[in-house]
Amino acid sequence: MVKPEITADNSSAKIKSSTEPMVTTAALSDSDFLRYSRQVLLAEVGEIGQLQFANAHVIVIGVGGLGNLVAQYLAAAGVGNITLVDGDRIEVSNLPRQLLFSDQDLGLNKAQVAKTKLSIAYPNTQVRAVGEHLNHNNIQLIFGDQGQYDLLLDCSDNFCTRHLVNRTAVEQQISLVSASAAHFQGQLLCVDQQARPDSGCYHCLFPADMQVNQTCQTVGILGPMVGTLASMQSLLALQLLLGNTELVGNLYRFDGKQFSWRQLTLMRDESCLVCGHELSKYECVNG
Amino acid sequence: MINIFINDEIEQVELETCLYNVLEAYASKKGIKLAAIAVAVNGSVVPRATWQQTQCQANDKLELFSVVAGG
Repeated sequence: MVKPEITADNSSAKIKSSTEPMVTTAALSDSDFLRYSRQVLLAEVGEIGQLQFANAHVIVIGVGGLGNLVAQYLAAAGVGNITLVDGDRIEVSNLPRQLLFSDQDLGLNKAQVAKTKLSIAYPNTQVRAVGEHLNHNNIQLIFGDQGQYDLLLDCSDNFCTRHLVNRTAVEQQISLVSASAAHFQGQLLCVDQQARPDSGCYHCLFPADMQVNQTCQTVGILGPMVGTLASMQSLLALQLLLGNTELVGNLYRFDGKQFSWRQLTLMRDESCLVCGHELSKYECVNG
Repeated sequence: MINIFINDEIEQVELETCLYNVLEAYASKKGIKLAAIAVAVNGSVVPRATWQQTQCQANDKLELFSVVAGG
């Protein structure tokens, strides 16, 4: 196993659990006040909210169509620490929707290239790259002790990874924002076992033995379709970092042909193998 | 018989039919695989494990959808 490039971060004080408001200790510099003035202007953000962004550490699983834009939006908003996890290499078929990448990047690791470009464009953000796929062998190394991350964003592109991410969120007690897109369908959901245990987890909604019909590789996708979901995922992430948990426990479904959003309330499966009382092993059959 | 709505289309089902049987019949009729379906009733997701314990009521609005995993 190649050891992921991940280092301990001593520059950002730990600030909150998934449901507790952050405690900030610093003040915005004049230049940051100017840079983020349109955000600070919002009553829901203000200087305190901007400092909450600066002190946050968000981990993004998958730096494809969703992860590209999500990482860019969060870094641009002033999120102070972002960890990117992806073992894929950049292919020419990625370029129409993975906007951080260009022809010169073909063959390079997605997480590493994204880190390099984001670090140049957004020097306020410390970006770390883990150039391998999340798997059972590297979870402990990536996540370490509980409480390292404030938010877990699932931007992956397959069902098995989504289940692994969900299980990690439950075990690490981190808020999970999961987005997905394929063809003209998109889904966005947020679950948090502390804020809304009654909403359950991703496995309660989509059990691991569920049959999956759609992936981008088999049904295709337009760039703005995945961009729509990435924007909504980023917005939801920023809301959570501000302490707004009103959106937790909902599933949002977007139809890119009809331009319609549908909202559903998630419900816990009491017999769930992941967030139920008795954690047990399960197998994803869609690998 | 009672009327219910599945993805905005009206369907007639027997009184006191469980959700599992409704979905099984609908999936068979539409050529959909039951294992690929998630469902919400009146805006709330019903976990698969409780389909057999959930009875459909008149005018229930069922929303069937499948998992989207790409990104």
